[in-house]
Formats: sequence, C-alpha cells, structure tokens
Amino acid sequence: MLRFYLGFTAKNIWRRKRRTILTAAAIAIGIMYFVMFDSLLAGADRDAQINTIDFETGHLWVGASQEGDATLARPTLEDTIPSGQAVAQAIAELPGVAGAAPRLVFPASLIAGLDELPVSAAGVDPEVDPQVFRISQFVSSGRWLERGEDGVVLGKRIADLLQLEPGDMVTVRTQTAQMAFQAVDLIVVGTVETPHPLVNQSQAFMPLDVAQAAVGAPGSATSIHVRAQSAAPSPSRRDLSGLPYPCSLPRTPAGAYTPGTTLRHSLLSDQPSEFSPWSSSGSWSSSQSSAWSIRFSYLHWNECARSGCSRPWAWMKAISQSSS
Amino acid sequence: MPLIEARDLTREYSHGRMTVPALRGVDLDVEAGEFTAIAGPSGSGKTTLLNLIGCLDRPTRGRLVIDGDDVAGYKPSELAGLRREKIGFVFQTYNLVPVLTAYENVELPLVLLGRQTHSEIKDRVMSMLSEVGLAGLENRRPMDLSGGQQQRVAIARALVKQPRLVLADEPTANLDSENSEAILALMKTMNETRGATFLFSSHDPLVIGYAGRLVQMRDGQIALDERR
Repeated sequence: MLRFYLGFTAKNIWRRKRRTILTAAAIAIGIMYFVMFDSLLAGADRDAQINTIDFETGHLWVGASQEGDATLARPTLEDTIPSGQAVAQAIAELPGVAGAAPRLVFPASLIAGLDELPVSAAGVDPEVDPQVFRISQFVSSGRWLERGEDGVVLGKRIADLLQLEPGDMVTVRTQTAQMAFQAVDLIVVGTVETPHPLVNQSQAFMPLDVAQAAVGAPGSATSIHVRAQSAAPSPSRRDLSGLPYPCSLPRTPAGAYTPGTTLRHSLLSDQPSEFSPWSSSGSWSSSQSSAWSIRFSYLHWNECARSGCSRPWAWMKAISQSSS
Repeated sequence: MPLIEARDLTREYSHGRMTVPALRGVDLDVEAGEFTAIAGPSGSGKTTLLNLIGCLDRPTRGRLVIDGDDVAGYKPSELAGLRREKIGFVFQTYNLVPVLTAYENVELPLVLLGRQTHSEIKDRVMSMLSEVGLAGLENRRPMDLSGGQQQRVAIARALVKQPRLVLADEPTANLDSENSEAILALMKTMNETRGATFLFSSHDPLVIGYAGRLVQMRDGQIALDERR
C-alpha cells in the first residue's frame, strides 16, 4: 500500500508539472522572504545591541545608589560615586578590562540665542572615554574634546536644530547637586554623527572636570562604564546565544561576600533559565561602603563572558572590595 | 433475502431551527440482479436514497440492510469496508482521478482491496476495459477522453471488483443521447452478463425505459413501484 501511495504521489507531482512548478516557486519565494526578513530583523537586533555597547553603556556599568536601590534607573546627581575617577582607575587596572570611563551625566538645557533645547549632558574624560565608547570616532565637524577646555561636543541633530557650528558659543543651563541653578558658557568644538540616534539627538559632551565644576561635584561620577578586552567587541546574535550560562557564577553567591552584602536580581537567584542576551540586564549592590553603594548593570554580560566566563563576576567582587 | 432491505428509512436535514425532511419513511426491497431506476423530479429524494444505500450518509431513523448486513450501528471504518467490498459507484461527473490513466483509474479499487497479484490485476483491468469498449485507450488520461468514454471508465472502475451492487446517480446526465444510450446498453449488458445489481437515479425517460423496475419518488416518499 505504501508503494501505491508513493507512486500516486509521484504521479501527482510529475503529471501536473505546471502546478508543481507554481507550488514549488510559491514555497521558494515564501522561504526567501522569510529568510530575508528574519535576517533583517536579526541584523537590526544586532546593530541595536552593538550601538548600546559602543555608544551608551559599555559592557558593564557601575553606578551608585545611596539607598541601596539596585535598579537600572538612569543615574542622577543625587546618586554619584564620590571618588568616581579613582574607582574608575582601580577598575581599569583589573585583568581583562580594556577601559573604565567615568561619566557625570545630568539634565541640562542648551541655549543658543533665543533657542533652547533640553539635552542629556555628559561630562566625559576626553582621553579615557574613547577606550570604552566609539563616539570620538564619529566627529562630523570640528574635533573631539580636550581635558580642561571649556568646550562642548554636540550630537549632530542638536547642532542642526540650534544652528550651531564649531566655534559658536552655547550656554549650558543646569542645576548643581545642591539644586542651585547654574549656567556655563562653552565653545562648540565639534559635532558627532554616530550610528546611534540617541547620541545624535540628545547628548552633549563636555570635559569631566568642567562638568564636575559646573554641577559642584568635584571628583565624582554618576556612572563608570567598563569595556572588556575582547577580540570581537561587537558580538553577533549567534555568538551571544551560543554562550553557556556563566560557568563560574555561583547559584547562591551571597556567602562568597562579606556580611552586609546584598544581592538582587533574578540572575543571582536560582533561575538561570531566565538568562538571555537581552534579559541579562540586572544589577548587584554592595552596601560595604557606609557612604554609598555600588550598582552594577551587566547589560552585556555575555560580551564580557566572551573574554572569560568568570570575569564580570570577579570584577564585581574586586570593584566592591576596592571601593570599600 | 433481498440484497437491499430498507424499512421506514428517514433522512432529515437541519438548518438552524428548521428541519427539512428529504426522505420520509421509505420502505424498499431490491433483489439481487435487478436493474432498477429511481425516477422523480429534483428534490424528490433520489440522491438522498442512493447516498443512504451507498453508505455515504446515515439515516435519521429507520433500518437498512445491505446484503445481510444491518448497517445502522456500523462505524465509519466498517461502512468504508462495506463500500469497498460490495458497492460500486458511478457518478454524474465521472469522478475519475485526473492524474491517473484510464488503466490506473480502473486498477485503483483492486489495488485498494489488495487481494490480487500485479499480473492478476492487469488481466482483470484489461479485460474490463475491453468489455466497456476502451481497448487501446488504457494509457489515456481523463482529459484526453470524451464524456462517454470517461463514463465507461467509471463503469469499468465500478465493476472491476465485481461488487454485489452498483449505484449510479444520474449516470447519463452529462452525456448526449447517443452516448447515453450506449452507456445504458453497457450497464444493461453488465447486469445481464455479470449479474450485478444496478440501482440508478434519473429523470430521463430514455434511461427509465431501460429499467426492469421503476421506483418513482415524490416528496421524499415512494409514489410508484412497478416491475416491468
């Protein structure tokens, strides 16, 4: 009977060639479109992840939380790392770390003539920041920042909206950490046009020391961004999904730390199945320091894991110990 | 014992709250070897009666015995077995498999029965095709045959497994009068030479003229039953 059915099927295929060809063509076109759109989506996904690493967060993000709140909320001037530059330098000396860049991020308004635009201002170390971020490689006009200068680099879209060019003066109005109003005049030294629209549309960069002076928070940083040493800084989706669950991550790591350490996030609980490239964002807070605590956001844990499974975890431990 | 024994055979179709009776308590006996025509206007219940006797449909109520088998409690698989073993069908639109040749179409019931060797099947099929006047046309596919020839293939397919009963629903409705007469003559010959019982529906006077028995349907009931 099987022979009969096979023969019947073969006759159906061969004796109706036009139908067979049309059906095969329809299936082929359908599969082609599926592969094409799946590839496009995968590419967009990958680009978004690369952009986030290269222009927004780095591989690992260290933040401060006065109340021990270990969420992924944006840093504010209320939660600064008092000795941010020193902590960043200590992190940069850890094995496997390519760079650790302190940033002081605060809300500000740019005023040029009668025009005013709200932006996210970031004080960056002009020499260290390029070790973590690629923003300085995308200067579209003018140049990148230098330490100590009263200069600002604007996202291209901001510069276009305010009709600013290198050499123009712009007023940055903000509030200090003590909530007093502050305004500083800076020279536009350059504009950047990056693949990440967030940078182009909403960010203004100035030297860290200038920013610290402007907001009255000398030596501090709202966040420290870490880049891992990796042969391929921009991971592909396949690379990420192929990685095993971090092999050296202890299921109940609390005991590995000194008393008083608090750990939060499902990744640290007994739920490894929830771990995935995009859900790996989370944080860990250590209350070892009485003045402030450290918050880690390992948004791109897997990328860190590429350069050694245990490193991000070891980093956290080392950073925690070095800062206490 | 009659080949077909129907008692109070009733079939009702439901359309929402409305129930439409297609067959209203039909009593019918058909003896083996009869050549019976079921006549009547459209909607009189001819096709419904044939579908029930052919086990393609189930009665709403009543009793139906086919060749000694009371089919009332049969499962679908048992009904399929009964159809495969004992009943041959001829349809108004032939219903041949378009990708198969005339030979392969006639061969199909024997292959599905699976009781004979390849050479036995071949001999039987070629003999059958010859009987219906299609010798030499066995390799043609349905689209290469005329309507009359296609119906001959359908008759050959219905008879090749030597069924006890052949049911034909309007077998000549799609044919011209010349071909209709030829097909009816062929069916009559098969009835006489092979002893197959034929039960066919039609409202064509030519067809009815060939029948040895006429069952006249009206409004789902038998209005006239006469043997000639």
